[in-house]
Amino acid sequence: MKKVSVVILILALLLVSANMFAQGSKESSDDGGKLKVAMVLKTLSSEYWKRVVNGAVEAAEKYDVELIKLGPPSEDAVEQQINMVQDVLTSNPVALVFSPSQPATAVNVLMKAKEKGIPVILVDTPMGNDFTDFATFIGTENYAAGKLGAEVMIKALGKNKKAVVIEGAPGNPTTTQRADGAEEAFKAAGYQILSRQPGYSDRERAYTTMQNILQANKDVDAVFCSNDEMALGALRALQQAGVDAAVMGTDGNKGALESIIAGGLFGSAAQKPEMMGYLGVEYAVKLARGETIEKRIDSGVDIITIETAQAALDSLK
Amino acid sequence: MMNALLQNIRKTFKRRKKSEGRRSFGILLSLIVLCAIIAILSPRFLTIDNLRNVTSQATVSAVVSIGLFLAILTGGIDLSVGSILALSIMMMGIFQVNLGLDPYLSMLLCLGVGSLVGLLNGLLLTKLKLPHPFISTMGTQKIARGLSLAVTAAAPISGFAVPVEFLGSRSIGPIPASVILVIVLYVTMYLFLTNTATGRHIYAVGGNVEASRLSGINVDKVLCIVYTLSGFMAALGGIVLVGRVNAAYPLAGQDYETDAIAAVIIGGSSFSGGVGKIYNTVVGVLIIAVLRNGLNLLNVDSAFQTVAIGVVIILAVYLDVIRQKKSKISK
Repeated sequence: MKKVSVVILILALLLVSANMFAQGSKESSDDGGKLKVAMVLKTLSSEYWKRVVNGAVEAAEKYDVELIKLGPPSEDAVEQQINMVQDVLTSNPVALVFSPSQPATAVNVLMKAKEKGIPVILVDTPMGNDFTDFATFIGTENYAAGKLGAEVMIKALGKNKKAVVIEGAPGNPTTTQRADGAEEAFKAAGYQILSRQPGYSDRERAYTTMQNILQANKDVDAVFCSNDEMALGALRALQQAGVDAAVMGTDGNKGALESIIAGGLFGSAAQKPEMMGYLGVEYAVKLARGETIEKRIDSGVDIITIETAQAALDSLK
Repeated sequence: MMNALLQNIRKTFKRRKKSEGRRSFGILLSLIVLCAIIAILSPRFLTIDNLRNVTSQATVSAVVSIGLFLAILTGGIDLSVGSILALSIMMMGIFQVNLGLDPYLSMLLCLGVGSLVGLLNGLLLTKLKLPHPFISTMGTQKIARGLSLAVTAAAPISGFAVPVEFLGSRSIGPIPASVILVIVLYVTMYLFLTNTATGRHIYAVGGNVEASRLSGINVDKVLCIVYTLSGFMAALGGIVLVGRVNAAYPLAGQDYETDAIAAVIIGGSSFSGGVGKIYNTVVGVLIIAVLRNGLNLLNVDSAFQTVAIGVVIILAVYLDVIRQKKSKISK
């Protein structure tokens, strides 16, 4: 019996120490009337989402609110994310800041939030047409990001050149909109679009795609890619073929920034994840104060080029 | 000789009965202690709202774990349940939403798809004589996952009819329909395992394959039944999941097999087969669900949640090792 009680004791200790691992504020009934904001993201364990959390924490400190932040271990753990939303709603936060891994699966639980009168602030990823009662959607204007990225290249290269556009998987709205924006900007500046093809958001696939495009035509001046991974793949194909073209990626990832500094990529249209987190909490506070807010808030883009890449890289660390 | 063997099996069962009772009590006690600790740390844990959440969150895993319990009871394993779940519900989505078939017929077809892949697992094991179900079910795991991604080019399906959603999202009185389903399933399975010849054969096959074969049990048939049932339960769990989240998506059920295996092992089943009680499995499922829910309420990073579940699995199995040592000494 002795050993059994030892095991039970360990279990108890485990749970009590889990309480210490609770990030930041602990829940309690006497939290001095501080506003409570709940945030459930796709995961907390990747670079991008950590940056969203950092922004949210900054806003929580500024406005002196209690921030509950949860996210499953990976973006695949869809049901676990829904469970987290369910669990967090029982603490009656003033608002739920939420980024759905699979928007279709979140409809039921967001309806629950609505029934309880808890407003939903979406960040990064919008809901489909099944749920339109959210308070606001804060995210990158993808079309504008693509357009702006292409325009910076056009400014450097001049008008009437030749461009290639590589997008993500067909049907992925995010990457398609970015490519649409870039194509529009190229056309407006008198560029000839040599080819627009899917690179499936993957470095290797974009590398092959770019190789195939170069087989047909080596006279390329500008390449726009809907994410950084694809931009790095396309860049490799261009370098191997000895073609000197400007390549613009999207996202502002570490790898892309390093490539920009090393003279590889021309630039990257960076999303602002910290801004999404920050605005998420800020607008939750505004809602709690009874202010009305717009249904769509642009978290903005930064076009990072050789001048700003080092500063952007430093801010990631 | 056959009689002697059967008698031998019966004797082992009788000897096990005593320690079995103590084991069940220990598992239940662990759950109660866990609940008590969480209730002390978080005043929100014992609210009606939260208890409804925990139990309904546990239901998909509870249904899927029945299949794993049976597979482990025969000394095997079923790694394909998560993928079978995904394939079954994607097919249900295609039948009901895309093709506009009757919702009840679509649910039957969903259960049919699950059972069929389960039967395939059984046949791979018994007819092709693949060395261990770890391999055959890992193969079907990949095949079913790939197919569920392929059928809609990875797009989720939503817009299911009310009858399909009923199990996962409606309540009968104050109790979620899915919780009632789980109770009915576990009672039925308990009666099936203890009161039918097939049920007892499943225990016998897990205890000793050769002895079972010699005493005239059709081992291949028993194994096929077990894996078909496992596939069936995965599909049924899928229907509950579709109701909960109002959609079918091809990544559904990812890693559910590991949670289910953990629940079965925490529930005191022996990994070498032949030993285990179905009602302890549901306690194992609840231990995992309560732990996750409690850590969510306490705002604990999900990385640490994963660590905690790992520790609990090891502790649970260690408790079992201690118990077995004791019962050997007391003999």
